[in-house]
Amino acid sequence: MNDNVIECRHLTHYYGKRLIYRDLNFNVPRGRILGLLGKNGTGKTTTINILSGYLRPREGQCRIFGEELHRLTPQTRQRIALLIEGHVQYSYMTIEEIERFYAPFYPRWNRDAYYGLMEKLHVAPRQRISRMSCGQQSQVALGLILAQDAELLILDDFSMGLDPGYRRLFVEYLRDYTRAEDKTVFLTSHIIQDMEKLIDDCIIMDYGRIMVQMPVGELLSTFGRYTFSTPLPSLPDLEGCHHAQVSRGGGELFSFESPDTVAATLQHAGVPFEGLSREALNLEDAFIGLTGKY
Amino acid sequence: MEKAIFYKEWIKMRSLLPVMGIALIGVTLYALLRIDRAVTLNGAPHLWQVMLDKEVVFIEMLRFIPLIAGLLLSLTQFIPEMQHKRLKLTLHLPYPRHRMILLMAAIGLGILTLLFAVQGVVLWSYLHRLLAPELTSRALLTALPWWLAGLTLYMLCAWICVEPTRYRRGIYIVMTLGVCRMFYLSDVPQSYDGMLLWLAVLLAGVFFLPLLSVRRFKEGCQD
Amino acid sequence: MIKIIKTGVVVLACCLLSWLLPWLLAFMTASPSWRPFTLYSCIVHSFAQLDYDRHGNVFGRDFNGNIYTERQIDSILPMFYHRQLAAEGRFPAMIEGVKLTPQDAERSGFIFRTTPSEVNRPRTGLHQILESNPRRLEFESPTDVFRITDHGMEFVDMATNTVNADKSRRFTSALQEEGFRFPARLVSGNASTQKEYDNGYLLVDHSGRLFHLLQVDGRPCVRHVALPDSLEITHIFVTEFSDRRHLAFLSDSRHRLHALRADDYSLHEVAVGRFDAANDALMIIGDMFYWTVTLQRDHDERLMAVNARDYSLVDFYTPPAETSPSERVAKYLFPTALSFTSMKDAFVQPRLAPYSPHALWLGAVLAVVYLLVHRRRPAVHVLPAVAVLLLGVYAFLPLLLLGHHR
Repeated sequence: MNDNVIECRHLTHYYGKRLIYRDLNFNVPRGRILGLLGKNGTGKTTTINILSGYLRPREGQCRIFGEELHRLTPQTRQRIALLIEGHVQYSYMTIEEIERFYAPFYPRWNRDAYYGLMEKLHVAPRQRISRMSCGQQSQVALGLILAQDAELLILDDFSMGLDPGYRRLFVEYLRDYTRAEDKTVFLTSHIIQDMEKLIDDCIIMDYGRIMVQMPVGELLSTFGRYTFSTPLPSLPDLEGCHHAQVSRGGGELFSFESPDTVAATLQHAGVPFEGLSREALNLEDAFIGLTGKY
Repeated sequence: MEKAIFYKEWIKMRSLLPVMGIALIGVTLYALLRIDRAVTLNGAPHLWQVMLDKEVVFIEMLRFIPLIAGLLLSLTQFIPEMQHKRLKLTLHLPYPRHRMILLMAAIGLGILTLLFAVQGVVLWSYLHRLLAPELTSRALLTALPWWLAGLTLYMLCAWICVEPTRYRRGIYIVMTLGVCRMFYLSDVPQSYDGMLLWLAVLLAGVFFLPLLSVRRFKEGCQD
Repeated sequence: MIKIIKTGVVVLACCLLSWLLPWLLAFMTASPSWRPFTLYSCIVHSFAQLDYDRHGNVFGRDFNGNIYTERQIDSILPMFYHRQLAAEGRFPAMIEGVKLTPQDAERSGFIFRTTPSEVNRPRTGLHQILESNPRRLEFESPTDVFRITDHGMEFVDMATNTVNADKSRRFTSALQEEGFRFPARLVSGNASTQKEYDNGYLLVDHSGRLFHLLQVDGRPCVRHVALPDSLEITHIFVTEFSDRRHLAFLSDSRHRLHALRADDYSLHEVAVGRFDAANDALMIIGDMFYWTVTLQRDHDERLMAVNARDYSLVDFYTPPAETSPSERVAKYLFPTALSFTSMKDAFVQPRLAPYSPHALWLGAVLAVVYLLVHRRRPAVHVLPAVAVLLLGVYAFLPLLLLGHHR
C-alpha cells in the first residue's frame, strides 16, 4: 500500500510568462507534519492552491489519497480539512451557526472539540465571527478544522495575524491533536519558530525549485553554521557551502558537511582561515542559512 | 447537507429578505392604491376605458422592481462567497460542487419566484375583482417578462460575481446589460407574449452559467 | 458540461452582437428621410408634388413637367386646399363637370391610414359598441364592453365587472336570428366618441360570412352582408368619413382591397393591386373625384390614383426605392441581423434577417486573422474558424475575447 497521502510529480507552473517552479516533486507520508518554507514569491501559496484544488498547474500531477486533485470526490474532500490563508471563514455567521452549518457535512464531526476551543474565546454566542478579533477568528477556523476530524490537514499560513499567545496556543493545540490522532498535516507559515515546534518534515523552497526536503531533526543535526577568521575581504564560491561571506575579518558559511570536510573545502579553495567552529542552528537560522537574508 | 446549504443561504439573505419582501409588497400595494384612487375619483369604467384605448396596464411602475430584487438577492448571496475567496470553503465541502452551486442558485431563484408569485397573487386578487379577466391577464402577462428579467438578472449577476477575473467580469457585465435590455424593448401590454418561451429558454440556459465561473475559479484564473 | 456552457456563452455573445451591432450601425448613421408630399390633381390629371428648392422655398410640380408656385399648387389641388381657396375666393365652381362648393369638398375629403404595426398588435378581445342613435348630439362613452365567445356575445358592465345577461342574450339572439355562427373570426369597429356618426361593427362569423351590427336605441340591429363565395375577408377597417359613402375598407385572403358601400352594402374592389394589411402600410387621401393611395411595403413605395367613382386605377408612380447608408454597408459587414422588434408589428419576438453572402468576404478575412492568432494549435480552431467565416464579426469577437488563450 502506498503510504504517501500527497504525491506531487513534475509540477510546473507559470503566472503568465513568469516561471514559479519547474519539475517540482515531493511526497507527504501518512502521519507526518510537513511544513513548506520559502521566501515570499517562491511558490508556497501556489503549491497550497494546487494542493487545495484551486489552481491547475501548467504541467505535472498531484494526487491526494491516490485521487487526481481535480477529480477529488466529495468523500475524499471529507478527509481533507482546509485552512485558507488568513483563516477565512463564513464570518457572517455566529460560532453556533457556523457549527450547525458544517456539522452535517462531516460524519465524524466532533462538536466537543469545536466548543472546547470556543469556550476559551469568551465571546457572546450571538456575536458574529466578523466582529471578533483576528485571533478569535483564527481560533474559530481552527476549531472547525479540528472538529472535522479529517485525516489530512492543509493549513495555509496558519499563524498569520496571530499574536504570540494565540500562536503558541494554536501550535500546541494542533501539535497535541495531530500527534494523538495520527493526522497528516501540510502547512505553511511565515513564522518559522512556530513550525519548529510543530513539524516533522520540511520542504524549503527557493525560486523555482525545492532546496531541501527532509525531517526537521535531520536538518538541524546536519546543517550548521561555520565561523572562522580570515584575512580575505570576501570568499569564493565553495562547493557544499551556502552563503559564505566575510564581515570585519570574520568568515561565515552554512553547510551540511562535517567540520573536516568544510576545512578541506576552504583549504582547497585557498582560503586562509583560523578557528573554524561549527554551531548548531534552530529552524529559522537554518532557513536563512539556506535561502539567505535577501 | 442540503438543509445545511439552505441554512447558509438563509443566513446570508435573512436581513435582506424581510426588507425586500416588505418593499416589494409595499410598492405593489402602492401601485394598487393608485389604481384604487383613480377608481374612486373617476370610476372603474374610466380605468377600463384607458386600458382599452391607451395600451396601459396601470402597474408600469413595477417594471424594474423584479430586476432590482434579482440583483440585490444575487449580490447578497454571491458577494460573501467571493470576499476573501470564501468560495474555496464552499467548494471544498464534501458535496458535489456543481450541485452545490446550482442548489445555491436554485434557492435564490426559488425565493425570488416565491416573492414574485406573492406579488402576482396580490395584483390578481385586486385586479380580478375590478377588471374583466382579459384585462387582468393582460396586466399579469405584461408583468411576466419583468419577473423573468428579475430571475435572469439574478443568475447573470451570480455568474459575474463568481467570475474570478476583472477582464471577463467586464465582458459579462456588458453581456448582462444587453440581455436585460431584451426584457424592456416595448411598453405595449402583452407585446412579449410570443417571446415568453424564448425568455424562459434563456433563463434555463443562464441557470448553468455560474458553473463556468466556478470552473474558472477552481482553475485559478486571475488577471 | 463546461464545454457546453462555454459554447453557450459564445452563442449568447454572438446573438447579442448580431442584435446590437446592426442596431448600433443604424443608430449612428440614421438620417432623416423625406419624400415630397404628392397628390393626384383633379385639375391637371397628374400627380402633383409639393417640394422645396435649395433656398427652402416651397414650389410645386406635376408629372407632366410643369412647375408651380405654392399658390398655383393650391389651385391644381382644390379638393385638398379647399379652405385656402375658399378663403381667397378662388375655389372653382365646377370640377370635371360637377358643380360643387367648398363644403362639398370638405365633406367628401378623408384620410385613411393603416399600418402593419396597428394591425399586428396584442388585443384584449374586448370591444365597445356605441349607441348609434344617441339621445344628444354627441356620442356617449359606453358603460360596458363586449366579447364574442364561442357561444354568443357577452356584455360586461364596467362599473360592476358583471355580465349583463339580458343584453348579452338580446344581442346573441339577434345575431343568431340573422344566421350568425359563433365564434367570430373578425370583429371591427370604432368605439371613439369623437366622430360624426357611428357605423357600428362589422363581424365575420365562424363560417366566414359578413355581418353588420349596430346598437340603435339600446337594441341590436343586425344585417347579413352578402359576399361572393370565393371571398375570404382577412381584415376589416370600419370607416366613418363625413361623406357617409362607405361602411368600411376590407382586405381579403388574395390581398385585394375592397370598399364596402354604406348605401347598398355593395362591395367594390379598389384597383390598387396587392395589398396585405398585415405587411403593407396604406394611406388614402381621398375626395369625391380621386383617391391618392400610397402603398408601402418595406422600402418600396407605390403611389396610385384611383377614380373615386368607380374605384379604377387612373395613374400610378413608383418612386425609386430608398435604402439607408447603414443598410448598404451592413450587408457587407454583417451576415445576418437579429432583431426583436419590428416596424411591422408591436410584438417582441426574435427575427433573423436573411443571410447576406456579401459578408462572407469579411468573414473569410476574420477567419484568417483568427487562425493566425491561434496558429500554434490550428487544428483545434478549425471549427471556430468556420463559425467566424460564416458568422463574421459576431463569432470573431466572442471567440477572440472569450477564447481559451484568455
